[in-house]
Amino acid sequence: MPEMDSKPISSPRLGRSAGVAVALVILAIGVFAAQRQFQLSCGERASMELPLCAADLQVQTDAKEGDWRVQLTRSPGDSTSLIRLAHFLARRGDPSLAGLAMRLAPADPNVLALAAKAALDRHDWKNSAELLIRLVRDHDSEAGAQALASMVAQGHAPYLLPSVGRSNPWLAPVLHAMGRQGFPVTRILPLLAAEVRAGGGDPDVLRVAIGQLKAQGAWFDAHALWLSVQGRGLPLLYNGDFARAFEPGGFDWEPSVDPRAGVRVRRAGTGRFAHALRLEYDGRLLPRPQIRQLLVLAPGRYRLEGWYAASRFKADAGPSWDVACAARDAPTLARSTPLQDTAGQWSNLMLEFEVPVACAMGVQLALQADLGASAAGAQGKIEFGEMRIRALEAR
Amino acid sequence: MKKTLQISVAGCLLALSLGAQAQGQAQNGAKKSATGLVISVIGLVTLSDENEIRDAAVDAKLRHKVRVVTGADSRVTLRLNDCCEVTIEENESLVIDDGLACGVLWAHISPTGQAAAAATIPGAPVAAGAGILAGLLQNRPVSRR
Repeated sequence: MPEMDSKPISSPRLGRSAGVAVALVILAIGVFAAQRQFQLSCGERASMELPLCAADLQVQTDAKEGDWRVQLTRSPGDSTSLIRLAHFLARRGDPSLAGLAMRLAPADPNVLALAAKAALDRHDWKNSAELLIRLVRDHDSEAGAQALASMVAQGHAPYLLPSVGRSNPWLAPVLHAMGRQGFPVTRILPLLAAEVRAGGGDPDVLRVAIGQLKAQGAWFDAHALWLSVQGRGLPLLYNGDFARAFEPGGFDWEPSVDPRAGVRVRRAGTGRFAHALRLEYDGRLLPRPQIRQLLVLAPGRYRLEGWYAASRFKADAGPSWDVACAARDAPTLARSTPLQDTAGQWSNLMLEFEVPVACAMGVQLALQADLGASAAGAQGKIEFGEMRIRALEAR
Repeated sequence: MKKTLQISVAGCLLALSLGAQAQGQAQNGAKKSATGLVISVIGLVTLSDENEIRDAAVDAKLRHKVRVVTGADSRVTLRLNDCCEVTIEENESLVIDDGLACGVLWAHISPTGQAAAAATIPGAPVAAGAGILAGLLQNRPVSRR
């Protein structure tokens, strides 16, 4: 009886082969399923004129164009074929069917895009604005937002003004598109201002706009937008009576918040004032500034007035109120005498200063110690109350 | 810097002459009250006096020494009591002055210096006309809700 020369297959090897086979089967099933899913999704897509699928790309041929024309001849009301054909032709530079598509399916996003493109080609800014706004508002169109941002950046914001009301969900995407494309945010201000005046305005959108304007050095615009949101007249020095909690992001007081700094800044009541600003020093390093406020002041002379009291205050050099243009590293325009201990007695504070045209209306008022003085070692407490700024002479 | 001065209608001129007669010889006829109203606002415009600043709204009253300031892409038109209208274009400032005739007030409009500070970010592309079209007919689906 012949011996079988084949060697028995060891069980580990058998296991490996089986594993590979199973993996191949799973892979094949996966590929098949993916292809099937892809075909299904491509076949069922409603927007065939915007080809993502290979099949779509293949059908965007003259042959397919012919099919669409035949289909339209058979069934003139077939809006799907019409939209596909109109879009296909428009991308070849032929807008002849755009108007018909617009009449047949005016709410279709692809038809809106067609019509908007045709309007932009004609420099018909009014219709462009209306169509693009619908595209962004009703269909979340990123391309529409970008096109509106470009329109606004080129000074066509007035064409969008009639569409601004209390609620404008299309404005936020346009603002964000402007930021992404590096356009000056100042161009969208007429729209934001109109929205606020209409009693609307998304606080988050406005906060973003104000932040972007400040970052661009558009102090007046940022302040005026913030002011319009407040809805009332405000003193030249905001919250100078310290009655309100400090709000970041606008034009309120900005205290140092570094927990390692040698000063704690907060609002507190005192015997004389219901609300005051209190700075408590513990001898550690001092931040620069200890507290500040961005002001928007037209060129001219001004006077800072207020009260202060210092208790058990010791320092190589007390802090002073400094006024400078708001631009980074701008030189000091005026500086108060360094504050000294007053044994807790309230004393007058006064500083006159002139704002030059060069500040572009952006001014910083900051409490800080002289750079040359020791930045550490201050101890004790200083309080400020009823601070205000008054214009002395306009220029 | 574009400034617009519109000396208005015949009725105003008539009122002016009657007003000048009424004031008699004692007062310099060239000096008229320049207080008035805000009649139109586009964009961001503020009114400020020695203590306070506020958003300019249509029909806001203008008093002596009130400063009117416009922001970027903004414009305000004022109607002053001696019947002239002054339009202040973007990034400009005017202090209302009772002592000045409206006809000379417009010459006191001055730039605020904001335009230089808030210039376009260097290198930021402002799209050309064709740039507006970019993306509209790209091969990307427009979402449907």
